[in-house]
Amino acid sequence: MPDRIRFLDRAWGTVFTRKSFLKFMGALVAFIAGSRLFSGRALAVSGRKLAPRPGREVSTAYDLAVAEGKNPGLITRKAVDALGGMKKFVKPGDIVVVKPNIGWDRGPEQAACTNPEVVGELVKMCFEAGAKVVKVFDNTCNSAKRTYENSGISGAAKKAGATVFYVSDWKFYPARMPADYEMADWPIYEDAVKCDCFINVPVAKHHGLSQLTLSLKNLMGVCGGSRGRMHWGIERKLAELAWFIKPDLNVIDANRILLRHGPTGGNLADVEERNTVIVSTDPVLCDAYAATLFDFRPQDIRHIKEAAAFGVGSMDIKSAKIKNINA
Amino acid sequence: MKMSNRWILSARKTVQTAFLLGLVYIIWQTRYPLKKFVNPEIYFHLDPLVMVLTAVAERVFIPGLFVALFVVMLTVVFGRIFCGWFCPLGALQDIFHRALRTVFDNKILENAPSKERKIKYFVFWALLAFAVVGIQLAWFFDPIAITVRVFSLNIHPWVNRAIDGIFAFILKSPAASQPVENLYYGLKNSFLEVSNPVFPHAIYAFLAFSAVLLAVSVRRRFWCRYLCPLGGMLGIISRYSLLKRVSQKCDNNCFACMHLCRTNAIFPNNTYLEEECVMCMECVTLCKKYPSRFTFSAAEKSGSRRNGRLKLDERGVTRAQFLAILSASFVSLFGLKHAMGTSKKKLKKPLRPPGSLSEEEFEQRCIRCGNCMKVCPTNVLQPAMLEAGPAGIWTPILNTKIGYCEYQCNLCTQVCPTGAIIKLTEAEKTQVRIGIAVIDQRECLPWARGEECLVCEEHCPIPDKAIKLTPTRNKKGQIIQLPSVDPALCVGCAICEFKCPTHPVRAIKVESL
Repeated sequence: MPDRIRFLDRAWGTVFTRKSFLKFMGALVAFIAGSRLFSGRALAVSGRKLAPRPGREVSTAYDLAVAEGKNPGLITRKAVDALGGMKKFVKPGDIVVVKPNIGWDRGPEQAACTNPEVVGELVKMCFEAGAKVVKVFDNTCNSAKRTYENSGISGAAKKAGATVFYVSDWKFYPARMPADYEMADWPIYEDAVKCDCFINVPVAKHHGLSQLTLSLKNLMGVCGGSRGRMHWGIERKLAELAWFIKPDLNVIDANRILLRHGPTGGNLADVEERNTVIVSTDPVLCDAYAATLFDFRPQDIRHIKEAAAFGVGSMDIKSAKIKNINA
Repeated sequence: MKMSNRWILSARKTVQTAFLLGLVYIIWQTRYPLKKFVNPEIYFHLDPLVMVLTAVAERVFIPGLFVALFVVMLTVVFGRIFCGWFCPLGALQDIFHRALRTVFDNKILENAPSKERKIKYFVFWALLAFAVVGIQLAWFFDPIAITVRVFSLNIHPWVNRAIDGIFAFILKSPAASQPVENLYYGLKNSFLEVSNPVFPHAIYAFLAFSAVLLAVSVRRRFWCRYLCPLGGMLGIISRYSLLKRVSQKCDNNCFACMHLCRTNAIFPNNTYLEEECVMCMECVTLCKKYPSRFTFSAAEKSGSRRNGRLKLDERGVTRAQFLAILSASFVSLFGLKHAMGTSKKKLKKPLRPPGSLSEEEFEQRCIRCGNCMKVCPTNVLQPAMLEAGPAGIWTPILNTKIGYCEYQCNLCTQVCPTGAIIKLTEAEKTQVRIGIAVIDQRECLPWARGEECLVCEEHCPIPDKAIKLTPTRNKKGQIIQLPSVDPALCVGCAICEFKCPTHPVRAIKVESL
């Protein structure tokens, strides 16, 4: 069949003349080289580690400020002002990280994520104090786009001018810690450490394992890796993490608190309105006070006790100087 | 000729490019929050092959049949204009051929229409015969499904990863600056995905697709003229189309129109086969001396077909061949059905997307287009290899090692073109049970070793927590909580399995119902 032969001949001639063969091989090499880029493996992995965040020593008039009132934004401002105002923590030209809890795909009314008004107000205050950039992010538990949107935090923070972004897996680096620390070499998000001021903004809620999730537990949001494994001996790990990050300011949002079925919630019957914001430079003191909202003594909460023993803060709310504000 | 008619070629190329880019854009936007610019279903609703074969195989009426009727009407009027002007796979073949010709300087000259063109009618009739007995195989041969699948499962993840990788490279280097970083965040908010999607088995879909493209180096539009069942179906209709090519009697003997016809539709005497013609308009613009035309006028049309009635071997499929296809198809498919039935009994039912039809129906209804896998925000939906049996190849299943089903997300139920996944509202979806979680007490840390864990309970999205805790004392005397699943509450979203920190075997697994 001459037609068939011509058919094959043509196919052969397409690829296997000398000139076209060279071109073919060239295309093949280009394809393989290109596919390395597309596979994402072409980038070298550096041996870089993150050093602990230095933090700023700030002395405040009070150890802890507690503001109560109906307007979440206003009481946040009043509480921070009681400690000396945002200017004490944020210097002009600073890169500030505001780290709320954006873990779950729930609306603000469910108290699973930080109140967006609190986050928005804090961002505004940072800019008023002269911040250059305010970054808002969290390594979410549910899918990031849903949680950022549905929690309302993305919208509120962007409106206040913050840079809101999703975490990228290539920006986690191992943490440089003493070798006997359990969190040594744990992947930490670079932006959480490379900043001039770190403001930790958790929401106060119940948690099945750690009893409560407050400012210490909220720091888990800057960690990567298999975060489930942090649950094994979580008390010590949270203390080490607080030592590593050294949040400059902790703002616990207790406008709505989740009493049961935390940390995800989802049932409005488990949510209680407390209209409170707790602010301190000491995450442990902050958590110790917040524990009393749930009728716990601070020493009942294991990770608070462990963190106080570790030395990242004090859980002694009796001797702390506390400023109560009603707004 | 008063003016050049080359504008019609540019028009065709513009339409082809526009429809291809439109398809890419729609596929790209098939993701959260699914702003409905155009629902990705529409490409399949327009496809009569998919609509007819799934409807026949399932014996249901699919509303998309009405939309497909539009393409049928288009074919009745204009012939296979869908293939030449609108089909994305056709456009890709044209573009790829152009690229090959530029690089390799490879000219393919055609002769009179070859017999191999009949294969596509065999494919079409065989697919229809399979559909009649309830086996839908359109998913393997449909050009739209082939294209969409490859864009969703291969091209999109690659492009996404490449752009992400380039930004990672720049932002890790000293060239990093705030504007570049802001650009990256902006892209991540709009164009890029939050995390790069992965589809480990999608390479097989890509191989099938590249075979179609590479065949272009042998014959232009190889797939369209020899294999495409949609082309065959539209070809059969286009024999009765109104628009016909009229050619003048030509004494030039250059045969340029025959040699260059991309679907091999033209005879040496300048007559043509209308079921092969895809209205590319090349022959109209090519010839300066005796240009052919396309016309609706009945008087001009007479005699446009070669010698009126076709000779036996020029027809699509002869009666004897048709009967042969039918009997061969029926024999093979009864064997196939039997084989599928026996192999299925041994298999565990796979985890299907929420709102999926029953397993038997699902396999026949699903056209493996990959829309649900593309739209899934957690990447849990993956093409099956043999997990769902040979009949379920490339159907979506939940791979709980890669992701989990987001509790309040109903996106996969919104994009299924054939209704294999029923449309659900977000509230309805939270009530749908995908499977049920089962704790393996030999692996689970609190049960097996008396250590704290409770990652499953933490992530459980059910408002009242489907994972219940029982306090107990471990050997050291500490109080620990033992998790157990409440079958009445669990919907099988598998976030517990996905987040379970025991590796490599997860201590909690979602089993199908």
